[in-house]
Amino acid sequence: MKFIKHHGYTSILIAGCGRLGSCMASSLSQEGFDVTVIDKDEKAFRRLRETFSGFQVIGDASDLDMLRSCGIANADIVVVATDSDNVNCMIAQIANMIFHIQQVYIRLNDPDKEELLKDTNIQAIYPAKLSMQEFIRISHIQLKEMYA
Amino acid sequence: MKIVVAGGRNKADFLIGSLLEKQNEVIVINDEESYCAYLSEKYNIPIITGNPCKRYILEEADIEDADILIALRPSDADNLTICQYAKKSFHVKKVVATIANPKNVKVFRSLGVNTTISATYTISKIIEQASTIENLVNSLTLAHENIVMSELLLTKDCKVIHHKIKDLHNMPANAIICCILRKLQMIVPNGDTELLEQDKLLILSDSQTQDSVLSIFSQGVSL
Repeated sequence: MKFIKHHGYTSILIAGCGRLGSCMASSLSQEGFDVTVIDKDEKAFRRLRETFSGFQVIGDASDLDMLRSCGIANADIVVVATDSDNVNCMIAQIANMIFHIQQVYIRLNDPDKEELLKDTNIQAIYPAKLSMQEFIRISHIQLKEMYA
Repeated sequence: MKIVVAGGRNKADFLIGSLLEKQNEVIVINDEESYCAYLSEKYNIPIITGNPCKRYILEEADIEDADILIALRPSDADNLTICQYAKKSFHVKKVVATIANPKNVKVFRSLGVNTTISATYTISKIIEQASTIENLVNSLTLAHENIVMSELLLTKDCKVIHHKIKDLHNMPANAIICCILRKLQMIVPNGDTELLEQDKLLILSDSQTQDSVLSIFSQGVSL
């Protein structure tokens, strides 16, 4: 794992405060990271744990000025987990190619979207793929080919 | 030409009609079933019902090596996805996207989608220029907004009147008066050309220096 520590802390920007975004935000904040989480729906922040000590920003995370005002330029890590794959792809590419963030992680429901990230170093997490692996592990059914 | 129209409602309908009139081969992808039914009654062209943001739908539509793809969905992120698929996976020669948020014009360009259409962006640029400079008649941006052609009318308050071009010492290096229109007559100026009231100037400059060029010719500014 590669953490870049600028001033003794690592700054993490999380787009989308759904189930995954809120879990990551709560856990990383608890661990001592400097976390900012953006969601366009104020109610989404209810999912955060009481111990969350980072920033909550209400707004559209695919808007350039919104990302800027959330300090994306100084972020070490960007995690993108909104409910739309297309929005996720757009935000991740903005972070990686416009703001040159080296560590960008994205959640994608549709594995076909991997092609769009070909020339970047954005790393994707595929829930369906992970679930399939877990199914194989707990069911002990060996599959020759895994379509996910 | 093989042209793909992805998404859109009224705009799509009008566009399809005008593209077909010009003898193009048009493929339509739209995820609204009732709208597709309407289009298929009106036009005799391939219409694919499905979300054009999905790879398998684009595959089904056989967009490989199309000349142009036009993305008309209301969401900017959707249009970016469609255009990037078209370019990266299906080798479409040119992609065009409509954009809702004018700030995304630059975002799309940085991410490889060069041709974007944003009504808000275009109109706001025109309003901005029309309202700030009184004697700016027209302005045209070229080469991805790096070069600007400004059309200026010299009124009697402009201090540059009755001066020769070589005496315009504030004129930036990256700007040139390429043409003067004087009573329907076109003059290609040189240093000795004198500027007169009611002259219309065509000035070519890079976009960064447009403001300083315009300020020279604005009313009441001394040399």
